[in-house]
Amino acid sequence: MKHTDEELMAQLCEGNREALADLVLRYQNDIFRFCLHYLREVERARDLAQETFIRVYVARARFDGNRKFRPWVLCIARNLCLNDLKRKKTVVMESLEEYASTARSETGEVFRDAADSPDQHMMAAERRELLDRALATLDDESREIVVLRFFQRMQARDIAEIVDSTEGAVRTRLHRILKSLRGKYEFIKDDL
Amino acid sequence: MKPADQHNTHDAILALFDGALAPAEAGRVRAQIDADPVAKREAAVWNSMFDDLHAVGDSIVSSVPNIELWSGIEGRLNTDVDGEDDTETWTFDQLLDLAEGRLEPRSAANLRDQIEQSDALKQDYAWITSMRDDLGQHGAAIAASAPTVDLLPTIMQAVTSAEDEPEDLFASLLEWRDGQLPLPDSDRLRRIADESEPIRSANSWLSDTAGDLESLGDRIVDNAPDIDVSSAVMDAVHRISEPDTVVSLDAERLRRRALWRVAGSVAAVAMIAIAIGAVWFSLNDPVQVVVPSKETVLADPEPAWQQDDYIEKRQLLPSRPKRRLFAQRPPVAVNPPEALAGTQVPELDALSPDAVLDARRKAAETGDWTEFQRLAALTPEEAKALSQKTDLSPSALVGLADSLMPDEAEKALLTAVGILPDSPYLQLELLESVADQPPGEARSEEPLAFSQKISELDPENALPYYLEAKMYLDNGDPRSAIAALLEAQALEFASPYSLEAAAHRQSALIANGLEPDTAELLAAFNAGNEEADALFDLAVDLLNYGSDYNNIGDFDTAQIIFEGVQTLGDQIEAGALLSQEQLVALDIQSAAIDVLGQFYEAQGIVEALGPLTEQSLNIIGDLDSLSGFLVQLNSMLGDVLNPTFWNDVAGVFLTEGDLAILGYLEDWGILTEIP
Repeated sequence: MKHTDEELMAQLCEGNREALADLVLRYQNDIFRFCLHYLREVERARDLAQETFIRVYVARARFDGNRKFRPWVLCIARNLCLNDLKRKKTVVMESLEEYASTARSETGEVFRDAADSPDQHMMAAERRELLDRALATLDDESREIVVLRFFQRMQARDIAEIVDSTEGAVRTRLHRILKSLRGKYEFIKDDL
Repeated sequence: MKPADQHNTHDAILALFDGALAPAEAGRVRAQIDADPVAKREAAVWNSMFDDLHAVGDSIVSSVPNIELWSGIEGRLNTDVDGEDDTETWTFDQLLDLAEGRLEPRSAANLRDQIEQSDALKQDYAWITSMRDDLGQHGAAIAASAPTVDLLPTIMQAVTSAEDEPEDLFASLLEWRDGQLPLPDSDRLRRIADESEPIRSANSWLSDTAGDLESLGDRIVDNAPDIDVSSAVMDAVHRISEPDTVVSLDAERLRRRALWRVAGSVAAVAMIAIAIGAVWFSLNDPVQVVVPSKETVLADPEPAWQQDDYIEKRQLLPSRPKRRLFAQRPPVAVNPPEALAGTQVPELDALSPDAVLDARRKAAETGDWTEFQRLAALTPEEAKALSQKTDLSPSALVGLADSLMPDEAEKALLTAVGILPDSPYLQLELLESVADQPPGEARSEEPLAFSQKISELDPENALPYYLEAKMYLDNGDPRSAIAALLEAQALEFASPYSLEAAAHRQSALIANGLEPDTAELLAAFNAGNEEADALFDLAVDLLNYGSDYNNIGDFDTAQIIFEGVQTLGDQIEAGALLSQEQLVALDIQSAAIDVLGQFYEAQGIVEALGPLTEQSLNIIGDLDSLSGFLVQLNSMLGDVLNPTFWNDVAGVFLTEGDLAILGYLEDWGILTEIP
């Protein structure tokens, strides 16, 4: 019988460490990819994914059984990532598109939009380039919302739980970010 | 405003302007619009549009010439329809109904038969149908002459213009795109998008952008390998049977005593351990603060501070000068308030000042302070019986509150605060009584009111802010706690008003039947004990919260809490008038520094380690000074001095604090007699 996350946490609090093993197997790649979106470095993301679960164990008594496990563990992972980034501020962050391109060339994979004609592909590439330049102008907090909303495909209420805000506030911020992004996008486009 | 609410509001506004709402409902909608700026803007736009529409309608009507039909109709009706055949029941209205097809088939057939048979009716019916056609054409001409008005795009443009667009339009459009909007909202948004070019354009851009962003995110993770950290995690967890780096504050005290011993202050240590430290050791269960660090969770702990460091460096430090910020505070009256004069003193079993001194000497020799403390405390029964007396002084009422059950104590304090509204100590007691309630049950407004009152009465006392911070942390509100801690750190000192508390306890003891001199000695020798315990508990609670936040990776919050506790210790020391306060201040600082040392090391905040080392060495210097003082103080107890002398000393304790006693002894010419 498959236990829910919250049941596994309850078992962990009662001393059953195997429950933690189940949670790790269930979420390790989810957490790893979540960290990767923040850190964009595979090894660091792996380390922090590992540390996230150790924190889950250490802080198990603080888990509120009335809450969902996933937002809680993502919140821990986020805290660890933000602190890691803060400590390594000197590291120059490459742009998202650059990172994706690097990752692509490392694996030899060539990204291509499905079913696009060469013209459409060219237009899409140009659009993404404009977007990436506009994204580069966002502050860290706005980028985080973009990452959570689009890269992690999270809804506003889930984002709110992770960034310790309200759903309404997240929706408003998302609106402002996108509006600003669109303005910058248009500006860059006109400028070219 | 959520999309569903928003769309409901659109409908409600339109219904309101259409006059389609019942009065009560209309009132509710008006209130809703007034309360919501977005709805208000929208209502204003609609209102303006309706005004425009009405103006257009009015202008059309006013441009059409007036016609007068009724007199002709009335004349024909009088002379033809009704006049020809009085028995005929057909009316003008019925003929018109027939012309417009509104009659029942049977009635229509009947009427047609009659029209066929009656020339007059035939004429009337021809006239009515002719007139109806004329009117219809006239109306059509009016309508045709009016300009075409298509207001919806204009309205949507206005509603969704740069300044007025809903604050979550893009979020709603995204949810629409993702199929997350409920069906009615989705349909409505589709209709709006169909009518509004700006929204169509925004939606089109958003659709492309969201797709691009998602594919960008996908590409980042699609190229990442799958990981398996389960073995590593479980190995690490197995190594952490219990959190490794645990600082026991009892161990901290033991270490401190060891340091003193190394310094050669064996006698001082023994006296302090007996005279003061033992009070806490006997009262408190061992307290442990889980010290969080990256190394801890990775099961590779390395203590940030070595005992040898203390021993080696302690010799280098001069003693830090003591600040006496309370010097301006008016001394608390040692003698019982006048109100007590009328208090009926019951028969005593005569606890004399000599007996108190003997009890204290005995406690100091054996290290068992239980009996001595019991002498200075009322039993709950005694306190309750006293609290019901009508002639009790406010001071005694406050003094006995400690011995009452929490709800009774709060009631007593509230009564007292009504009489002594300007006592910051009373406000602090009330704040503490509320703060001690279990998490979630604390009343949100009251503590802030008490805290604010303390700030008004004693603006530089930081202690209320620390209590506030703990309450916020109890309730899972770290942001407010941080704000309170930051406010606290900007202030000069933290005081639990131990001298005031001792004076009130003295009053309660007297009210319970003790001789004033005896009560004075008991109150003086116990002054600050309870407050020191409470401060220590507060610091431990805060450190544990810091540890919790560290463990979930919220290092910013953890750091602010740890540093806040260190500052609390510093501020208590700054406000200390009693050795108990100073000792607990040093204990708190010492514990906070230990935790912070490990925290800074784990976080790689190396620049903070140097100052921390210096602060820890300052603490050792302060402890040296304090131990020397306490040795002298306790040595006096070994001398046989008469109770009058000790009452003089107690008087100084209760007005100036025991830390001031050496100066007085010097003034009295006594100090030189003490070995």
